[in-house]
Amino acid sequence: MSSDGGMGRVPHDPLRSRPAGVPLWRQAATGIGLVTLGALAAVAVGLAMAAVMSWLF
Amino acid sequence: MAVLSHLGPTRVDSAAIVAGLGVLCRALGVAMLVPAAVGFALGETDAGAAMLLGAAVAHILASPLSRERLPARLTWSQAFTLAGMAWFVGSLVSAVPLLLSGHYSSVLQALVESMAGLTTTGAVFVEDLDHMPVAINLWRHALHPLGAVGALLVVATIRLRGETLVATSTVAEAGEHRILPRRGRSLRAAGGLVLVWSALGTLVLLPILLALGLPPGRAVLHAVTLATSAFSTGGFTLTSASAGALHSATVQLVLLVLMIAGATSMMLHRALWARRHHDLLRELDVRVLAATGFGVVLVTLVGLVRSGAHTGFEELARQGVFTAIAAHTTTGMTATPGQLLATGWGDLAPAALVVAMGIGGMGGSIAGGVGSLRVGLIVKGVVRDVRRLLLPESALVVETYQQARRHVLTDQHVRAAATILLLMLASVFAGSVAALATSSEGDLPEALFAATSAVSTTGLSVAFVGPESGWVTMSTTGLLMWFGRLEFLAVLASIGMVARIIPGVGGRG
Repeated sequence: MSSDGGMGRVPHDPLRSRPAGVPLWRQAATGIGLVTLGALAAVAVGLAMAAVMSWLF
Repeated sequence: MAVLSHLGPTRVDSAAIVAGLGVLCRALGVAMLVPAAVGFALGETDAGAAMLLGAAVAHILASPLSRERLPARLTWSQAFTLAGMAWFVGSLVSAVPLLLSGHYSSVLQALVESMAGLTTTGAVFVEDLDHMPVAINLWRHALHPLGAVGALLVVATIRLRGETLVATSTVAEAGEHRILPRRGRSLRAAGGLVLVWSALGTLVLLPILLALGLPPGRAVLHAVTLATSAFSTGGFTLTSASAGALHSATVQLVLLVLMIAGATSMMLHRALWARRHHDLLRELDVRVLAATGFGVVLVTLVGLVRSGAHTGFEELARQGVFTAIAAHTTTGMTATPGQLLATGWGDLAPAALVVAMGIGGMGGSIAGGVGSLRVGLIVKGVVRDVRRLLLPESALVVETYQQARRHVLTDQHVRAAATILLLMLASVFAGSVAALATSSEGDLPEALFAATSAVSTTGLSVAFVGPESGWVTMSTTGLLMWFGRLEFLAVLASIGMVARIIPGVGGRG
């Protein structure tokens, strides 16, 4: 049985799948921007928790 | 048995591995020339000479190894074994200039520091770090991005070709997946990611550090080392006060972003670059990391206010939130001295840090630990089994998970994830026993903290680990970091390979 439970392996290569026609710098900017936004959102949640804790205690 | 004896490594396997180690030694030798040049430019003649000597040793070692030719494509087992050996041989070679610097009193101490750098652990074994020459300190920091590229290379060449990213313990199926991609493309992908993020982090940190009043030269040095150390989820810093030395919340915020980016899987980075972010929030890795991150920060903060260690917003944010995220991403930077973590933080907050370090970052990232993907798979496996118990026998229970695409959860996935978890737990136990048996300082919780920190390649330290450690604790820590970085089986495979090669030199033709 294949790794996906017998449903048939779908060839997938994450290192090769880049959109055609989009300049590399724009791809990098999009990727870095999205990761940064995600990270900032996570930190913001942490800071909100710290604010609540300091207010409660 | 006669049949099995013919399944050992072939002459071709040995040649490929030896050639790979030759390339590694040569690359490290070339990399040492940069801090050597910096040392001479700054007038640190002794440090520059130590770096040059290290580079010479690396090239001398590389010469006989480079007689073999590295094939354009490695097989699964060649790459697996080479990965296991690379971190050990790389640490040995990288330790030479450290030992010559005079800041390490034994070969073992320099070797373990070097291993802490290349495994992106960041545990500190150096004596008098605050007076270390810039050239040597720069080399120490360079080990983090070099190790990070190596870790991503393992992800790109080995793990993406096997059973997705569940475990390196799952051997690839036969056929095309036994042959790995050309190494050039993987190296570009891994190196590019580390380079782009480190450069960007440096550019963001530099004006902040200049605004803090640091002299330009010092600001550049801090910016480069902090950015590379944070994205590599390493944890080395220029001074013994770690991230707290600069007393800046803005610097800490930038470091947090870099640490989270470092703990993000390579596949996710690539998917976001390719604008494939529609299913981002359905990714198992993302969901588990978000949930465990929320839980760990919450429990850490509750622990801090309950123990009375910190109660104000700024302290909770800059000590609690920062250290919790640094532990979860296995970076190990902290604004809190290790002794205060052990004695002033109570029991709950350090316990949360142990859990955070154990879970680690996403599967397929630079971060260590069990990995959020595996934790998610184990939880999903338990849920599936409970559902099987509750539903009628005839019911077909199918559990799926998202990781780049939809996968059906199989017993093989859960077993592979559980194997790594079990090996991690066993090594934490063994490391704790070794530390307690050979050291008079510290207690069981501190021993568990230290062992988890080492095997998850985090580097946070409360006791046991440091320049004053005994040789047993020091070598155990080094082994744990090596095993943890390569998730055990690559190291075991390389040891097995060496054992098979030695009796019959040359192997089969």
